[in-house]
Amino acid sequence: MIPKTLLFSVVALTLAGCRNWLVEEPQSFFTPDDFPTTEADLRIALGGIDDWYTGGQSQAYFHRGWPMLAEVPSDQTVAQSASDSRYAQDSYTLNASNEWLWRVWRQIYGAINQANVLIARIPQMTQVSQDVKNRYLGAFKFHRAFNHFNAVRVWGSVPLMMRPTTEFATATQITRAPIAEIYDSIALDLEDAATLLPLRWPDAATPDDGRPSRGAANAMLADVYLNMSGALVQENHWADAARAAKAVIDSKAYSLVLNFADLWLIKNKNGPEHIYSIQFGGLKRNLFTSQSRPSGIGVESGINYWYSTPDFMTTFSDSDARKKPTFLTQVTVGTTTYRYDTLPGFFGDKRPRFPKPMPYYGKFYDANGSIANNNGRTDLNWPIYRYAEVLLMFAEAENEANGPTADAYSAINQVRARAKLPALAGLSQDQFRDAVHQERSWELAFESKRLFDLKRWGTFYSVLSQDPVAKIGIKDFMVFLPIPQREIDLNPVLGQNTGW
Amino acid sequence: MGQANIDNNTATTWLVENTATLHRALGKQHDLTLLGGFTAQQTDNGANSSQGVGFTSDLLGYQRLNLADLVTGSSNATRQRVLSYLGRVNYSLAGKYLVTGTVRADGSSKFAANNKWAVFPSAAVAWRAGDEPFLRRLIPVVSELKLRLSAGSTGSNAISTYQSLAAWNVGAPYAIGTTSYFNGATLSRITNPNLRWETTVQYDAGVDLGLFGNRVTVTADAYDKTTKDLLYAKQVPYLVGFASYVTNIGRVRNRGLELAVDTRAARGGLEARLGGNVSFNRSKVLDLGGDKQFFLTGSNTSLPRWENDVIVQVGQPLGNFYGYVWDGIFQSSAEAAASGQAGAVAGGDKLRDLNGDRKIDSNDQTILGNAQPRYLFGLTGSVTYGRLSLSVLVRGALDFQVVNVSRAGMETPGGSSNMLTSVLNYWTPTNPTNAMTALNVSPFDGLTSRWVEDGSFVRLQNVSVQWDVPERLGARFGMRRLRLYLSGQNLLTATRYSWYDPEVSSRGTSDLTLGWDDSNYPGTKIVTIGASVGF
Repeated sequence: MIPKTLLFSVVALTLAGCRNWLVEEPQSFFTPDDFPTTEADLRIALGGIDDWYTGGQSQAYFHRGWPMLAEVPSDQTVAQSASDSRYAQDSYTLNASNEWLWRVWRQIYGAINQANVLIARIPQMTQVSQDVKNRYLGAFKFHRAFNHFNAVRVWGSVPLMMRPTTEFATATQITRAPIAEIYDSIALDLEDAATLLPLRWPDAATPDDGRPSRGAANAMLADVYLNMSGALVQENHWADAARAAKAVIDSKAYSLVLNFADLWLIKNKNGPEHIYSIQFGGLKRNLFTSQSRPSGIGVESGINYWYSTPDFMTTFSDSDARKKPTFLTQVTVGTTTYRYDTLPGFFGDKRPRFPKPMPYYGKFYDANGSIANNNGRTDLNWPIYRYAEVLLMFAEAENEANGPTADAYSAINQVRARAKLPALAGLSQDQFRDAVHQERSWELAFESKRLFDLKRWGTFYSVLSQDPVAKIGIKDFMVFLPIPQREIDLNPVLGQNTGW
Repeated sequence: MGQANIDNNTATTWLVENTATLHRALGKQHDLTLLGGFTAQQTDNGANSSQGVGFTSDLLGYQRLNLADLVTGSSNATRQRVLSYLGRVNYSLAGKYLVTGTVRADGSSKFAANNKWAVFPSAAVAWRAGDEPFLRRLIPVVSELKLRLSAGSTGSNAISTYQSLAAWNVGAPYAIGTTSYFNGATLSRITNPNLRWETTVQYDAGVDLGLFGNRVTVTADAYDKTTKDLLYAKQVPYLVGFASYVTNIGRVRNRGLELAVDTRAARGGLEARLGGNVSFNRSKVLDLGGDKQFFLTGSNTSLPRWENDVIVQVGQPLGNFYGYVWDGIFQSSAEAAASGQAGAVAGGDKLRDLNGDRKIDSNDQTILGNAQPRYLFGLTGSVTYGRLSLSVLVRGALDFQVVNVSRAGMETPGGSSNMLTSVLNYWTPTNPTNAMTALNVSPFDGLTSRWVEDGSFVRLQNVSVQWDVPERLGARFGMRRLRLYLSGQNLLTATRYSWYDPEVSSRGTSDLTLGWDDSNYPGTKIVTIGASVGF
């Protein structure tokens, strides 16, 4: 009778002696050998890119981090606090260790690397049809371009990452690329994407469902060409910008929503005017609604991170249909009405830092979302491009390329008509340019456009040195923010932007 | 509204250890023991969880998770295996000269394909000098003397599974239009084909001395341990798409001395023992693979803006805290404005400008303290009289610091959450304190010396009393043997540390992140009363 222990030991020793016994075989994650191989795999990989936009530590990108770099430092938004990292951005007293720099940078490059892995992988996939490959290749090129576009507008010269990372030894030799080269690469990616992407995905209910479409690629392309033609790159691409915007207009896939206030309701998300929006819903709900909601107003209170200025509000004409939905001046909760500027129920800044009371954002607020009950989060999407912006981009580009033509007037007047403002006519090229600039500030308020507009128009320093908060620290080299200190500590060849 | 979660975790381990021993005594002088064997081990971990969000009512609690509007679930599984072959030789000559040699080969599934195995040999010699004829004459004064020398290596595979493999993680939530999904794939790792065992080589020299018929025993050991290929998550710049990767970095050395003295006395029915031990340890980072230093970046405490607060530097020990020096409170707006510190206000934290450049930036940060005690000691005593015995253990650690993150979150005068009573001393122009900020002014949002405290302590670790009940008493209850005892643990601690317990480790047990108190659950005082019964 063989003792059990001896038997077990022999079995164990035999098993253990198998060469493969110590090889790790993952049970609940994929390795690049087996993922992605099917169309369904590509769908979840594309969904995963969205996680870089909506996830991350501290709501790093399209909740809080992005407006921190792209909106708060502008002249239309003021940070509520007077002493923390948000204030440092608003007052240009930040340094390279400011947390929002590395938080956004991390999300940007995480998304870029994932896009690169898929761009390299898709051509090698054999189980997927060419149609499907084209769509997804277009989508990932769009994401690679989108993130580089965000980075180059914030930091100027940044690393241009066009290949997936396969090892870390050379991470300390990666240098920053010249701005013009980055823009060329972005434009090329978007031109490709515009060809590869459909107007609407086959299973999509609306042209904008969060996945990049041809309209989204062309809208972004117009924006990119406008930036390349601007003060920081100075290459003449006005005609290209007009062409890209016209492609969106001529596709007839989008139209302006009649009532401006309707654009900001959850039930109207992904509507006829939305071209590309970051999607929220399910377990991923956005925080940005409550960021410009005042505190101290009962169940509709938000976290009171920033608000707008009365000076900006007075630039709107009272007949502008956008004025009321753009600013929050009054909230009624039950039987109590709170106003931004009068007692009782005053929800303005209780420790006033400014001579006049500050109105809050009216955009991004859906009166049906009970903020307090949902941990301050709602299902509203973040609109990146709306058809109204495409019309304004076309008007601006057409004016620069060919003077104020009938097409240019038609585009800007559609936006003005929706806002119930009188049509423009008989302007010189300079006057038309100023009119478009002004219209953009009204139409796209708080949508993280203004700061980049000032940068590309060359008026960044002249405007912000008059802003009561920005002028505290602003210098003209601050048109580009500092490269995050952590990156330079870990990769010294990056170097820092001039002046920081 | 509301959310409920059900989480299940399972861990299954099997272990097979088989050894064969051969013992031979050759003549009167030689004694030889040989041992050989192998061990194999596997651990399977599994987890699954379900979550419901948006319950229509809370009457059913989590017992009906699918009452929620949105129910999601997830699961995962991991497996790890270790295989080892080992052998040992013990040889003694004349009972006085002892030699031991061991070798083991360990293989762990966690390492990369060509690095799964490593060999760890060791050797030791000892000389029972007290048994030598020329020293026997010293008996009973020198009743025992043994000299020891050893050298050996051991390995560690204390990392998570699969770190050498590239990975796509699944489970990110995303939305397409109005439909939500929960299976987004995100790239989380690339391969690390060089991931291998962490090895520690240790040299030790020791003496065991017995005096006065072993009524006094002294043990002393000196050691030198060098760990190379430390397993650690090394930071990489975010621009490559990742934050860190697990790899082998650098070398660290620990050197020290351990001393223990034990005494015994007996007279009549009374027997007493008293002993003490003390150890000194110094650690030093020798090499970081070409880097001079690195910081632990990202936030790792409950205060999300505390970053770069641990520094690992060549030439320094592990466990250093890094931050600004706190210099009290700004007493006036003029002082604040003249300081060059961004965001300075009267009544706010003042930081020291170490390099005098009228700016507060990373050049003004320095090492604020270290978590590793310079001295560890213990005292034991016991007294036995007949059937009653009493024993006491005191232990302590001296000369180390702790970062009190808990206090940092509770000293904002006027803050909306619970604060310490020390905030009542908030700064005002008429209360020019240097200890607390002004109303509604938070402390500086980063590690400063304000939160670094001396953690030295002496602790009454254990007191116990034991009584062997006389047999005739116990026999009344049919017990052959009855022993009653009362003991207390962690009864008293003497320390200047202001929070619950200076022996804390909120940031895990890695040597790099010792000494952080982030609302750590303190050690508890336990009093036990019990009986041991034999029938």
